[in-house]
Amino acid sequence: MKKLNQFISAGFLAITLFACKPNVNNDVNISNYKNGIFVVNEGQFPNGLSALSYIDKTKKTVVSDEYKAKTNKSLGLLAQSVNKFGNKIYICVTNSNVVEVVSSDKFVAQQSIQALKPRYIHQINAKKAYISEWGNTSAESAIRVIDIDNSTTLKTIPVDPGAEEIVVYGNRAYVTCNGGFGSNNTIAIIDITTDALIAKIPVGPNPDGIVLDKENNIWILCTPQYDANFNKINDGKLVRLNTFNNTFDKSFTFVNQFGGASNLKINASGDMLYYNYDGGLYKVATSTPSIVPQIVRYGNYYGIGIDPSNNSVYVSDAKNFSAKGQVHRLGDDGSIIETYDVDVVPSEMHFID
Amino acid sequence: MFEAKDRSDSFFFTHVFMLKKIIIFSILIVTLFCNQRSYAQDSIDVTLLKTVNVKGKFKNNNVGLQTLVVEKPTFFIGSLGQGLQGYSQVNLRSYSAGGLQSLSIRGSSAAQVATIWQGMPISSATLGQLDFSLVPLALFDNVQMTIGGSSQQWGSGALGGTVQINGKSDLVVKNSLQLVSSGASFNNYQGMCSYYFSNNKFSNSTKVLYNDAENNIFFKDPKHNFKKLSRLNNARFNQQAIVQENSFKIYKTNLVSIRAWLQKTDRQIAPNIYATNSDEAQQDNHIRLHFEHKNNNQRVLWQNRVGFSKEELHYSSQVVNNLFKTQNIFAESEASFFYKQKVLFHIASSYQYANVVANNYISQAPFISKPSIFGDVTFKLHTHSKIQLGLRKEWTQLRQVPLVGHLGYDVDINKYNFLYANVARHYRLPTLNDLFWKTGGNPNLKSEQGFAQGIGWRNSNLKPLLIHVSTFSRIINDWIIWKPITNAFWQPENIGQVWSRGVEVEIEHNLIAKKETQFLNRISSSWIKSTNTKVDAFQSSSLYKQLPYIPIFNASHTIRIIKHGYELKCQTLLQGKRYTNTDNSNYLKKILLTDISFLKNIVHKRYSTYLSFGINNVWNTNYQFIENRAMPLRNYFVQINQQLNINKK
Repeated sequence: MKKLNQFISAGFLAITLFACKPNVNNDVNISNYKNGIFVVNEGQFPNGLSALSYIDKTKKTVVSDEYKAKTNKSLGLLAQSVNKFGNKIYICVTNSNVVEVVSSDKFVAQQSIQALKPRYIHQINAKKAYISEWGNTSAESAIRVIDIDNSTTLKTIPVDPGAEEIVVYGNRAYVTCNGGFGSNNTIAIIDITTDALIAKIPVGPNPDGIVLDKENNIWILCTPQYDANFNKINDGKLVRLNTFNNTFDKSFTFVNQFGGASNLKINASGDMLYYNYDGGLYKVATSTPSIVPQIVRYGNYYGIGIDPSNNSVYVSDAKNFSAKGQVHRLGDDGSIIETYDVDVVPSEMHFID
Repeated sequence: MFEAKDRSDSFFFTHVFMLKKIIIFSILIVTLFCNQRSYAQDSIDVTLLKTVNVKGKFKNNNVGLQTLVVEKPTFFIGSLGQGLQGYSQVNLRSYSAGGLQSLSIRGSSAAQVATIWQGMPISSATLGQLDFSLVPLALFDNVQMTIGGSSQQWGSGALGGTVQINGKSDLVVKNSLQLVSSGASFNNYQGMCSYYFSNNKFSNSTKVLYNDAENNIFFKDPKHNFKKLSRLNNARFNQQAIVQENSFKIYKTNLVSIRAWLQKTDRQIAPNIYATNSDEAQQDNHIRLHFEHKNNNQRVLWQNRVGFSKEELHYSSQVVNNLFKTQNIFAESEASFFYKQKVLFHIASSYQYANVVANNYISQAPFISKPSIFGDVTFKLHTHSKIQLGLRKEWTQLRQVPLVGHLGYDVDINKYNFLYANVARHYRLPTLNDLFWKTGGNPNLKSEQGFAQGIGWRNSNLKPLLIHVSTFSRIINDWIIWKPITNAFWQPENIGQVWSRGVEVEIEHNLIAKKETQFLNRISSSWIKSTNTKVDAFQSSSLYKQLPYIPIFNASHTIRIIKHGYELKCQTLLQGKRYTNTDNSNYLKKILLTDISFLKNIVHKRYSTYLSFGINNVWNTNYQFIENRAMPLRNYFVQINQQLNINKK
């Protein structure tokens, strides 16, 4: 009987072994997205299509145009940003007037949220998210409140032209309004419990990037303002909004004639700012009494990403804006540690745990 | 008026074109309507081009170069760009219905093709190129192309080749009236009225043209996975033009010509197929005036010409509002004479001036002043061959200009074989946008310059078969490329070197069979590589890669069958894949387009009527010349051309 059992067990084992197909994992994109980076590629302006690259940090591999590979359709024109919350990935495609939604595990297309020149999407709570929109005209600039479950629009909150990036602190969302097609100098403050606009605060020319530091102060990057004849009339600047007393208590002016600073990011611990300026990547400690920028690395980088898991700095190089670009991971000394070939005009990045 | 502001008040077009409706309605009475509508710039009967050795005009007697004369068919209302499209050395890039058309010759950039009207350069001083969608071919009697660089003859910009458009050059005794009207798919209506009178001493030519097209073409919509058709929005095109030419013969040896070309174009800029709409519009208005004097006293041919043009380009959208006002002055004097019937001397001097007033230039009103002297000497070596040496020196207040030259050789090897060869140095000045654009214009830019060589052979041994094979090589240094200096601002620099080379083959077969049936068959093909051979670090991935939108392989086939006043024409264009970006990582698929047209000519005493009907894009090909810019699917046109020869009895 014992031998019979052994025989039967061996038989089952043999059947089981032969019945199982080898677990072939040819491609990173059939597994869940873990420990990776989604890179938004704007595409060649004005006619090229955007793409979403995926960098697997573990395998050091890149999947080109992951969106098209999985959904069998192109992403559209001028993808601006990507975000993930819940079990969905949201991609704001500005010039196609849509926010594409895909599942975060297998990248299956879910919905297409119609929006007017969408720029960024930010989760407010488990039920709703805000989409910043430039609108088709400056007058249409708004925050679109959507229901996360069914992606329907709950409300639209008009704000000043060029609604751009969003941070949330307490019961308030702070939205930079960079002018969009023109110029503007305010940030909008929205009560996230009522979705009502509370205030518009003048901050400086064309406020663009906005981040929250570890001391719950808000940093805003303003970009230069030009007149109709392209004469600079206001310098760009980096300012700090003290959320305790709602005053701007720190400011640093960028005086370069051609362009200002851009791509304001903050590390995971909330104590170091990064931005591009004048052909270089700079960092600024948030806690020093005055703003003292330090060069990290020289180079024209089109996007910056900070890995929240280890504070590694990534920069995207758009090359000549007509060929495939690269994403570099930088060491503490600013040297390039890793390089990934991605798609055309890489810009924003989103890190997946 | 479209969304751009109406600036026509500053022109006298408004008054001139008050007559337009009267003319158009009288012409369009006979216009038929189709159930599908037309692409304004595509209701074409692509012209047949012929390679010739141009003789007569001394300046065009380019030894060692290939010159093509566009044979205009009796029915043609379309743009100059479409008229040149059927030739393999030429690559037309069309930005959708009613949109910009730029031309590349032998793998050049669009700014490296010079366009000449009556000897006067008309390429834009700001962009360095001409929008070929804005030039109605019907307004001109003679169109020629020089394939290959000819900076020695035409100065800056003629690196790839030249397109020369001219009116009637001689006094041909005639008195005729012509009315042409057409209706086509996509609400496309076109009409032209021309009157020509000439006796032995005086000629008058008046041509008035009107074109209006909605251009709401169908395209396969990517938003529906290319399975559904959508209509293109915001592509309206409206154009009015008049060309007036008068010539006077003074004594036996002098001919004086005065010409005016007035044109007004309003158009919307169509959106990309991934966008739903566009708020862009553009207005292009110009007045061009030309005076020419020729004296041929049998010993010396003197030619003097003076030109003036005033141009406005107004581009507007929600984001951009750019207005360019350009004035050009041109003067040229040349003399040609033989020495002992064996040496032909040609000496000339010219002066060009252009200034631009624009709201986005570093300088308030930048200008370029360009005097030059040039000339060539042609030696007739024996009865069958000649050699030509030419030099040109230009000066500008902006920078040094290289001395350019040309050495050409023609030989009739025997009755059936003709060989030609040339080597030349060419150059192109930076455009005013390159120099003065705010922000990014680079006043320190140098000229693009380089050398080109070409050789060609024509054989007619197997008559009626004609075979023409040519090959060329051209290297351009200091190629101007705009590169980003920050994330928001770009600046042009002399950082590129591009090597273009290729082989072109044409086979022509003309046969007149029994019962007066004529068969005309022509195949033209080219293989052209145009690659970056030196690049800056920022675009290292484009090294040795083909330039965007230059097809490596290009071919066309035209067949015409003519019998007893009937004509059937079929033209097929095959264009190989075209890369859309500099690292060649993305490309547009090859294109196969066929257009068919049918013509009936009815002659009754002094009246001739040409009725034509055509189908463009017969195979309903979904294609693009520029990435994601929709081009029309199958479309139709009908046209009636009525001619009254008043002198004929």
